[in-house]
Amino acid sequence: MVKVVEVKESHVQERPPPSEPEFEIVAADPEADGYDITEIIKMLKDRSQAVEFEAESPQE
Amino acid sequence: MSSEIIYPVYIEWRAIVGAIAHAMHGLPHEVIGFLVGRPFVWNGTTYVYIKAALMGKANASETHVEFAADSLADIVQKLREKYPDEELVGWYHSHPGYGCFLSPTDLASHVNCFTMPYHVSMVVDPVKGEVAFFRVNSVNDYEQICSAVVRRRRDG
Repeated sequence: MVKVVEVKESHVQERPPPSEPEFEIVAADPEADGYDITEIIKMLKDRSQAVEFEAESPQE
Repeated sequence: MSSEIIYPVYIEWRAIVGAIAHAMHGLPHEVIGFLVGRPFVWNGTTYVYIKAALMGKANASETHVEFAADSLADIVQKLREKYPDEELVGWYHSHPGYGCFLSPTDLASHVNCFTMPYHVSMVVDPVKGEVAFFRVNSVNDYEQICSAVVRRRRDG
């Protein structure tokens, strides 16, 4: 049996990157040397800021 | 536009914090997941906008992680239901305590699964407290790339 699946071609649309005023740049890594996330880890340890938790389980 | 810089990667705050929290919850084991968003082009430069991080069910140890057999079907269903206008633009995994880089196995996984030049890999080290983004050119060649973390203003 052959199962037909739709393969959607990726269309790269023109759109300016996120910027003010619609977006706030929270952090940037212009030198491509990575982020220091120790403050975020501390924040998550101190109190579970679940409101910001957006890594989603597929089972939700 | 207020800035002339176009980063190759923009990730929403909630997505990167979610991936970091996932990596912390997974300790001491590695975790793995997908990055959901879209590629765009502006002034001739292609960038990806990452909207969400989807956790993957995994078989993992402290130095190895792979998607569980039924993980991909769950991810595809979630993508269709919640992010019908988005696509998979990359993946993330954690390196607990040994830093942000791509191993030969990571490179092979990326090349096998992500074939578009804008596809990215994000590595989280929740022990050292580091996150980095990478672009893979071939199974032998990858580079760490610039990025920005953004948050949409509520009234923006």
